[in-house]
Amino acid sequence: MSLIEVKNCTKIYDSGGTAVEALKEVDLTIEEGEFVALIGPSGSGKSTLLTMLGALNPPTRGKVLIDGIDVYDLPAERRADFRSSYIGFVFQQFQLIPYLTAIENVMLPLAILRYSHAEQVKMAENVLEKVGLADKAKRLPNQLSGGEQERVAIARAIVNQPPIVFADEPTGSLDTKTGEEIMKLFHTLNQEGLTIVMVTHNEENLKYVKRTIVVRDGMIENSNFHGDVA
Amino acid sequence: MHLGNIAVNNLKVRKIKVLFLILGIVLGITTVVTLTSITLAMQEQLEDNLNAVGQLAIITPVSDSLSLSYNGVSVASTTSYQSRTISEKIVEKLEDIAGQGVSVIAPKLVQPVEIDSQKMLVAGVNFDSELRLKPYWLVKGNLPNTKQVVLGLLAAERLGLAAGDTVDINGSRFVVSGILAETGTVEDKLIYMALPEAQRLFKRAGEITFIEVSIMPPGKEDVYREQAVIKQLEDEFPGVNVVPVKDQKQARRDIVDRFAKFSVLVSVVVLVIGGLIVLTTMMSSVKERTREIGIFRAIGFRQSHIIKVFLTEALIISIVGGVIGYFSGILLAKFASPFIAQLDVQIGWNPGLGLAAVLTSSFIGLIASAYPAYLAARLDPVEAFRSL
Repeated sequence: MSLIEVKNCTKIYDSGGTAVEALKEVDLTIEEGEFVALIGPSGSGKSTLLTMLGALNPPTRGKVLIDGIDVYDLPAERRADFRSSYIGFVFQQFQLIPYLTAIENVMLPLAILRYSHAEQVKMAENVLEKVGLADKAKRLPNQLSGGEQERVAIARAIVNQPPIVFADEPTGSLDTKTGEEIMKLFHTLNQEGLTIVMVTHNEENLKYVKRTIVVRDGMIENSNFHGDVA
Repeated sequence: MHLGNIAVNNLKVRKIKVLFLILGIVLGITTVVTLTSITLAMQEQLEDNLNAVGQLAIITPVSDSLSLSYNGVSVASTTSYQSRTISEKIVEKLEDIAGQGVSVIAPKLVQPVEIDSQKMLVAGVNFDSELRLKPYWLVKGNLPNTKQVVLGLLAAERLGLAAGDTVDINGSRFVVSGILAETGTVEDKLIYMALPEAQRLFKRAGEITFIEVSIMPPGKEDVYREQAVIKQLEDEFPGVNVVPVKDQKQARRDIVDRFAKFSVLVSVVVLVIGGLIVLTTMMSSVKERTREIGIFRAIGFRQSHIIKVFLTEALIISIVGGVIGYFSGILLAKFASPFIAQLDVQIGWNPGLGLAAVLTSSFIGLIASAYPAYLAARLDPVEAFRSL
């Protein structure tokens, strides 16, 4: 059984009274431990596919199974619980909560789970150390560099040890060197068993991934497995 | 880290918005606390005054419609200037049954007069009885002897007289021996002299206009005993009216009740305004925080978690606003009460009112924030995700 299975999914948006087909009968499987890049031109449907895989955006037709669970068959609140335990998100431009410190941002997914404060702190400190920010735990986002904020966002995505992380343009707001460091971090996490699905425009990033999926006009145009990476 | 931390940390960074929200709550609660404190003090003062005089009744001749009155008792028609009277012998009979319910007997002869083209009322009274019946009377100067009068405060002002001055009444000259301190009643408009003096002056020997009697000592009011005493008096003295002064008490209570109702109305209006301020501010806050809500939803927050965050923020703001509103309301009441209600009663800190203020502000804050919190929770995560 694949970790992620997309079965014949179509997504139609209503855009000012006009039906827009963002995804057309997409079939896709992603295995546990893969590092997948979704690439394609703007408006091709890759972000729609990412949010659909992330249990945020139900398809108009079709099914999305994660670990064998039909995620859109779950009621909305159960789907939120599912996201909480199965999925980590890394958004464009980091998207940290500006009034919470780095460690508080990392603890955010734990705030709704049954962990004591001490357990939360320990888990958050561990992942901050993993991303190389143990010494900046008490800083607010505006006191961190872009690369550091991205690391906090990654720490937040993995703190509750989800099997999958979805990342939307994770290096889009970073300079080349910092982007490279972030991709190396993702590569390390993937080596440790984390399944990662990433939307990117940056071809430099593709050297770190195991598979590239090209999305065009709402369809999967190509799906290439790479050999050894990085 | 729990949902409360998110609420507290958010409030810390949105100082202006929080200040505005607290101000909305404080405005409402201050108004409610001020008006409630003044109303409670007015009620307390009213009951103190009413209790000080016990239960009174007035014995009057049967009357038709008249315009000049004293303590609600018509004393003359404007056309005839002729007051109707009852016999003074009734006083003697009342004294015979004194102790069987009737404790103080205060007969009066009230006569309309014209002094310097002004219509006034002269009351012949027994000052000993009057002072026992009205412990709140305070005469500045002396009680009158022969050919002397005491003026009510407004009467003195209208006639431009002070203690030691003279005044001509019905062709006789009287010396003003004292001025009655303000009572806030019709008594302020009268000219007082000894009852025998008035009976001589108006050639009404043995006549009186009405009798005020105390039928129940202060603090011992009992409606069944009061009815029994009134019935006894009516049986003893057919042809006169025995009217309990309850109506006057009720009238004074009605004034306070009207103020209380007015206070409730104003409070409701101001609380609704405060609630609307909270509602609109929270609505704009939801709009501003679309991204943040999207992040929360994407990482697994349930709708109920989002509602909890927003309502916790509202509750914190409401409690702070309620506490500040309580203190500012009491201080304002202390400052304003002498101007609004001429209160002698001290307005103090009232823990019960404080608790009610905080509970009210919490209720208003939560109700006003419920809809914005619901909207925040219902926000489509994909829409929020798109704005990221």
